[in-house]
Amino acid sequence: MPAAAFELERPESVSEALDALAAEPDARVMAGGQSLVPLLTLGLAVPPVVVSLDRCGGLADIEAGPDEVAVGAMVTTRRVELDAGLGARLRLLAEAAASVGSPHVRNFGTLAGNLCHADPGSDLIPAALCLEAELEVRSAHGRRRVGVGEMIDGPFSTALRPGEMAVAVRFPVPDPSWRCGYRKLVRRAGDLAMACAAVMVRVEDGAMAEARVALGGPLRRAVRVRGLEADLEGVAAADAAGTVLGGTWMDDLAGDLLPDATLPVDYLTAMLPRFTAAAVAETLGAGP
Amino acid sequence: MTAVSANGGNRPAASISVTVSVNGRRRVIDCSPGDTLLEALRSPLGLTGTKSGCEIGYCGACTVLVDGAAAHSCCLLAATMDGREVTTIEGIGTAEGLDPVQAAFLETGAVQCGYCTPGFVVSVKALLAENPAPSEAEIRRYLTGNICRCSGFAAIVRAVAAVTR
Repeated sequence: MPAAAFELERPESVSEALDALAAEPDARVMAGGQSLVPLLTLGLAVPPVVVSLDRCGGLADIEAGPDEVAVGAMVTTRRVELDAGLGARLRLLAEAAASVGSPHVRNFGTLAGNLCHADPGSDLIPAALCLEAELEVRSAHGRRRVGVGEMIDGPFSTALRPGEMAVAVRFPVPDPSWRCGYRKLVRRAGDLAMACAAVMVRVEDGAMAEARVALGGPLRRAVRVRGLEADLEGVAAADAAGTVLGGTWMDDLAGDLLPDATLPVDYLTAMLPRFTAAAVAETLGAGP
Repeated sequence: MTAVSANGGNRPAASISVTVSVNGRRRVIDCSPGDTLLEALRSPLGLTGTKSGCEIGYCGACTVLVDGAAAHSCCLLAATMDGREVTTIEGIGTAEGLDPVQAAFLETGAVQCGYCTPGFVVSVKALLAENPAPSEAEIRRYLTGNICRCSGFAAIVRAVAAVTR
């Protein structure tokens, strides 16, 4: 039972949903509800109105274009994990999707909902950052595209404005020569990540021509680690782990660390480079 | 209009009526916007085999099938379930004729306090419908959404393996 009563709207079209959001600036959008319903139960979200997209037509499609894949706001994490066509083109996303919670959560939770919930321990945000995904955002007044990195402000906080909702997540399809990998650190299976890393690397003549690394978990928000990416470029694949461990890129993350009683700063600053080095090495070992 | 519920919270009066198929029977559920499927099953419908544990989608005691897919019923709003097919533990086997999953749990001693058992059995039904011959790793991975606080996991995994043998 929720801590506070709310009204439930179940619009049957996107335009009806946008009208409902325009009418109540504090309304919350619900896709699969796997994060929002617990927040309502715990009293951590007390919206006057919940706009459920469960009856909203046209949001449950995966549109695969030649250069871009658009994943509708009601496409479940389970479908992202298992859809063969999507997996062939966005393997990193499928791999991260398979790490989300449990099958129970993935059966109903959605990719777009996970991104917009902006949990620092999200599996899907680092993958979306590496893949340079954008949200297609609509309101009663128009539409815009916003990069996932720009959209997330901090823990559970986004740059979505009142009246806006994501209707799709758009991914440019990477060239198949990119190697990719996802690594997650948890105490118990099914937990949100204590640390997670999404990695994409393109190797030419034994050296890293391009690298993308996104880290999440003990940070205010998951980020692309640009300093590390620059350090890795041009380095022989065999020297990747040493380059990660020897760099000063952790300094850039210092202001974003989210230590707590069980994960103090000393632990995080010692663990994250080793964890990231392992993620990069694993990705390079995975083959193209 | 709100009414004070048994636990003291402000619970709005039931204002929504949804029709759901529960264990093959058409049921009309009168609920308020915030009622979870778990609450609707246990209270108006009296199907108390589905257990309430963490209530935040972690422990799996409340697992049911929704259109065949394993679900934490504490994380779904009852008001959004119209037209769905819900299967609870009451819809799996009978006292006289146990489902093979239930029989395997008994035979391998995979039950201690029993509170998590209905959720596990329902999850295993979903697993076996998707993957009739799962490996031990696949069994363990699929059961991520169910927790046994007596820590009887080893026996539970053996029970699932026994069903597929």
